[in-house]
Amino acid sequence: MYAALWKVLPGPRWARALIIAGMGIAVLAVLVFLLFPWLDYILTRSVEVGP
Amino acid sequence: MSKSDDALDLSIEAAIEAIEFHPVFEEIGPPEDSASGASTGLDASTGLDASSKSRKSLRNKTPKSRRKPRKAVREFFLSRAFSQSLGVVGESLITLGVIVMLFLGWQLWINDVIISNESGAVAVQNAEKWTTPNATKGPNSTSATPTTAGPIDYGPAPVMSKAGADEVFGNFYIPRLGNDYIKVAAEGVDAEGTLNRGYFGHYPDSQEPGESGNMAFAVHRAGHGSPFRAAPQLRTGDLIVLQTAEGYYQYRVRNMEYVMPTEVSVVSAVPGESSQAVEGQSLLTITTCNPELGDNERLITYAVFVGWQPLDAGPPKEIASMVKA
Repeated sequence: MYAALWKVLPGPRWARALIIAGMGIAVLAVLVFLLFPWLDYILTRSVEVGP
Repeated sequence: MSKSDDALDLSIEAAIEAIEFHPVFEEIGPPEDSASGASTGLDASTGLDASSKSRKSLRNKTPKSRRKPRKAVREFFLSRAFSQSLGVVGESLITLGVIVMLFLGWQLWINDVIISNESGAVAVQNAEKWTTPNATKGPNSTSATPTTAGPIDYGPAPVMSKAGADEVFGNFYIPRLGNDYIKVAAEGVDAEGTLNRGYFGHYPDSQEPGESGNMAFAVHRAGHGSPFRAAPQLRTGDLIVLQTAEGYYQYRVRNMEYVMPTEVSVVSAVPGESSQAVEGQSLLTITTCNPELGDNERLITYAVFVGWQPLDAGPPKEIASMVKA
């Protein structure tokens, strides 16, 4: 899967590394700012006493 | 096909063959010519392993009608589509594991630091807003009634009016938990509005500061700034001060207990026997999760109201160094 991604990306090795780094940052940003807060919200809800 | 693919195919083929000709999966009995060596496992005439010989004979005796499906199964397991699918599933599981580890790191470390700093900044702003610049003289306060000896009596504590939902109304100071332990108190126990911001959330149905009864708060133990992680360090007699726009409400820790999450009576006006509460007493109850990284139980801290002083009297001497002027 990841090897296939490396193969389909265009350009020289440094350009592909740059594209993958950019994609990694984008994925991390989505995780940290959207997915993780949402997961945190649905996992920490409680109807009992205390937090 | 690479060398590693060839090796994988060979090993899969060997595994399939071993399964196909294992006696357990064979419906037909052992061949007659292996009967003589059955007891020793070796063939009497050749000295070969009887099982290897029986496999060859079994292969020859297996009807073609039964061999065809096996060939199809083998081809399926050896197919490129199968190995690629297996690779995708494997890489997906590894990716999922990495995401779970990232989430835990975010929740327990990165987000913890961010929330702690944010709530700390709010607490400092509150302290600056509520602290009177000339208010560290204490006894010189105009509202004080000087006595010949002992602590100054400022009269009955004013009852704070009910704050709006999620509204910040105070700061908690607990010297036992560090000289920089200042946490925000806000109205409500909504996760998004108060608790997940690292605040002490006031149970809306419990009593207000200065009111007789039970003033109850909920707070996170770990995660979201981990505002009450050090709760087990509290000892009987430790000071807890709630600073509001009215003044400093002082409480002393009386006891702690572990209860089940369903034990909602701990936040009632007069909690159960273990709180040692009596009618008409002013209590502070703080509920938090236990164990530190779980929520199977709740750790309850009970503190008793011991006095108050107005803002212009300055902070109690135990927290004077903690209050930012």
